[in-house]
Amino acid sequence: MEAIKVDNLKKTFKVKLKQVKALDGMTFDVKKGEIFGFLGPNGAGKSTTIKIITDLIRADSGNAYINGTPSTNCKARASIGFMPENPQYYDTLTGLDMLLFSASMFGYKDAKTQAYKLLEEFGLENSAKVPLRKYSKGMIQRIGFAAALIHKPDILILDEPMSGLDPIGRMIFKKKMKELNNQGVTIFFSSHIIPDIEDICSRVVIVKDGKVVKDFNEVEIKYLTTSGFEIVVKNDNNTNLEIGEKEISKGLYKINCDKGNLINTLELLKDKNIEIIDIEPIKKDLEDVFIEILNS
Amino acid sequence: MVLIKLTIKHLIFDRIFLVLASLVLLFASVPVFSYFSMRQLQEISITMSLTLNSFILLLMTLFGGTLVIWRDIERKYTFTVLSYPITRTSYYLSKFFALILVLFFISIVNFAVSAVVIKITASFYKSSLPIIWSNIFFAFVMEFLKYSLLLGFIFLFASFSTSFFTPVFSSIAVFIAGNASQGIYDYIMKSSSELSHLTKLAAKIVYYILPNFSSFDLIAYATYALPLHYKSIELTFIYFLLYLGIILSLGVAIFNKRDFS
Amino acid sequence: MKKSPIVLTIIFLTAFVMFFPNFEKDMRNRPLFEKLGYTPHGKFYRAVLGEFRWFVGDYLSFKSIIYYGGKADKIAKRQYKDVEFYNLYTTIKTSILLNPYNEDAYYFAQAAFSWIGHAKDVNALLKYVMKYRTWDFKIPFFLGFNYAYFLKDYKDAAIYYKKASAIAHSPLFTDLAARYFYEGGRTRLGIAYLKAMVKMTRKESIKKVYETRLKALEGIYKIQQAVEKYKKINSKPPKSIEVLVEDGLLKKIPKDPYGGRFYIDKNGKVKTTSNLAFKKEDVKNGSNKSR
Repeated sequence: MEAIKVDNLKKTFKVKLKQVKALDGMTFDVKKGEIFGFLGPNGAGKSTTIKIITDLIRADSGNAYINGTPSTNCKARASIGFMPENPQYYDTLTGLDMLLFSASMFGYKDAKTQAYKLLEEFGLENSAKVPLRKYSKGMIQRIGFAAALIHKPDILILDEPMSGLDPIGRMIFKKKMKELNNQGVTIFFSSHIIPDIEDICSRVVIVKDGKVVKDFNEVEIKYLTTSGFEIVVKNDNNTNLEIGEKEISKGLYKINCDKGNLINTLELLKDKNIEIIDIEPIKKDLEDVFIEILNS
Repeated sequence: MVLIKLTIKHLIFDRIFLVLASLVLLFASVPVFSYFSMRQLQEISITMSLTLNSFILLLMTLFGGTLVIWRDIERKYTFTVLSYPITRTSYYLSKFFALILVLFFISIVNFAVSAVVIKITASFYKSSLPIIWSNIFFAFVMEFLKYSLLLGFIFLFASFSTSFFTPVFSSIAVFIAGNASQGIYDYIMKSSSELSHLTKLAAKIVYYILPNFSSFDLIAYATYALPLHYKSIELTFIYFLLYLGIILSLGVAIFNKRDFS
Repeated sequence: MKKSPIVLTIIFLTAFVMFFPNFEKDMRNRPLFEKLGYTPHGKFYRAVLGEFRWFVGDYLSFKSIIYYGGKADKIAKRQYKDVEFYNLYTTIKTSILLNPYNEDAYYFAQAAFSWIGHAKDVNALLKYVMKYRTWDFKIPFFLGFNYAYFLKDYKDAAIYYKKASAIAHSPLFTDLAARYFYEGGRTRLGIAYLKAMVKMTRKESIKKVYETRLKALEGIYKIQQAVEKYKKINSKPPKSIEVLVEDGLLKKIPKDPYGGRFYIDKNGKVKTTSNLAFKKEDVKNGSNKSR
């Protein structure tokens, strides 16, 4: 049984008398134990899909299931932890109270130890007794993540979890997601930022115009999103390589090569006995990936 | 249950709520104001106490209603709260009854304070009328019921609207219309000869639909010790239950269909 | 599960429609607070204010009383031009419409307007209030007095005095009527009424108004008695009050508390140069109907 199953969802919104098609046959499933990336540009239908899974929006047709239970049944949400995009919480609550409230909504009475543990993990232990209205955006994001975890869910659904986070926050989030996944938690999260997805996802679905365009595994996504490589070499003799190298400082050159050209370039460097200092893939931005997918 | 507790907590710590709750202090002005009266200090103190209670409950209903439900939707608290394993029905009703509990508590406080100020004021000058405490009590109960019904309307309007103005102003409109409906209906029915049958039928339909708030008004009974007909109270109570049942279930039905995008 | 609220709505609706006729009937039989036509203004307020009408009614009569108290000096000096009598009257009228049970309102109307030539209007207000304050003997008492003293309608006056007696369980008012109506004892009727009002009134400023008027009427009554005695002795009315003092029929000439001077006219009637504020002309000039 799939952790999440989305079957031919269709949804049209009425915006000022105009019909806007948000979902047009969205279909995919998330297997147990996956870290599932839900990738697509803004307006592709990511949030709408997630809101249908969490029953905030009702689909015109089609169904969504969580662990086999239809999403319209409130019990389906007992096994998920959810963090919406730009989450908002009752801002008179303190961080600690918010976590305890969250736990109690799932029927956990005594979650104090767990709450303190999470606060510490997310670096909020000093703000535990501070009302949420005094939290910064990044702190809200962290407490939101903690709140989604307090009842130890099997499935995590996160809508743009890393938007608005500082680099350290991103790192904490990614680490935590990997850790949870190792414990067997299925993670479903959406993003429009490629590196976030690529770093941790075991599977990626790309959506556009309300439907799935492509379904990739971990390796495929890495290949697809890499346009080429940036090679840094040490060339003390200033040998002319004639492959478009640029000097970035004394004796150090940067070479950009295409994805398919890496082996040739490396061989050339080997022949000329040039020391390679660093090779780094060059990531495409999402727009380019889409163009590529749509062209293929 | 947890949600009721949280809603109450959330409401009580709100600044607007505290401002409104401090209106209870206005009761201190009752004896002072009554003293201006020529010969009905006790009567004025009762009227004024009931009016103050009504006023506080009105503001509390309007602001509380918007704070509790509209703001939840507007600030997107619903995204998190509704993603918990609870039905929308229980969310909606929890919110409603949380506020009802608050209104009830305020009514009790107001009644207790009123009893004190009425006693004090009545001791200044002997009125020709007795103080019938049961009448005053029922007047308080009826005011509480009346505003519970109005709150039901705010919730009903909030169940489908996205703007702040729709629930608040529609509720104010309902409040005014509900106060006037009985008088206007009587007027139309009295001027029987001039109006066509169709107009009368239309009036009757409107009269059925609009809430009848004047039936909850027992201030004159409380103040002037008029004989209270318990049958009327009973009927008004049934009316309240049925009417509230309609607007609450209708509100839940609409709320259940709503998309939170 | 999902359909149940709608089903519930329908169930409640059906029950509601079935129940409503009972409710409607009961509402029809309740004592209605909205009969008799007055200003549409007041009616509009009443419709909109809901249960706040009672207090707003109280408030409007307070406003009137406080305003009147502030103008007490001017009223005593009969500078009626400075008093907005017309607005005052409309305010009290609205107040009564909003809260017909309000005792202050009709009480004040009687005190402020009946003596300045508006007894008829005051009677209309009193009759309206009487429908609500069924236990209050003062209303028919006022009505009876106004009919007898100001409007000289002794038949209606007797009816209301009788009603007052019935409500108060006291023959006093009927006796009053019997004693004074047919003896031409208008002054004594006035004195009896004013004495009762002084006893009943709590507010000092209004009490003073009554006391002043009472003092004046008592003065007139004393002179009248002397005039009667003089007529019996001399078979003609006296030429002046001084004559009465000279003849020992009057100890001294009473003072007019309104600042006027008592005199005896051609027909032997006792008058005063201040007119005791009974004259309509002053009032009409003083009212601000143009506004």
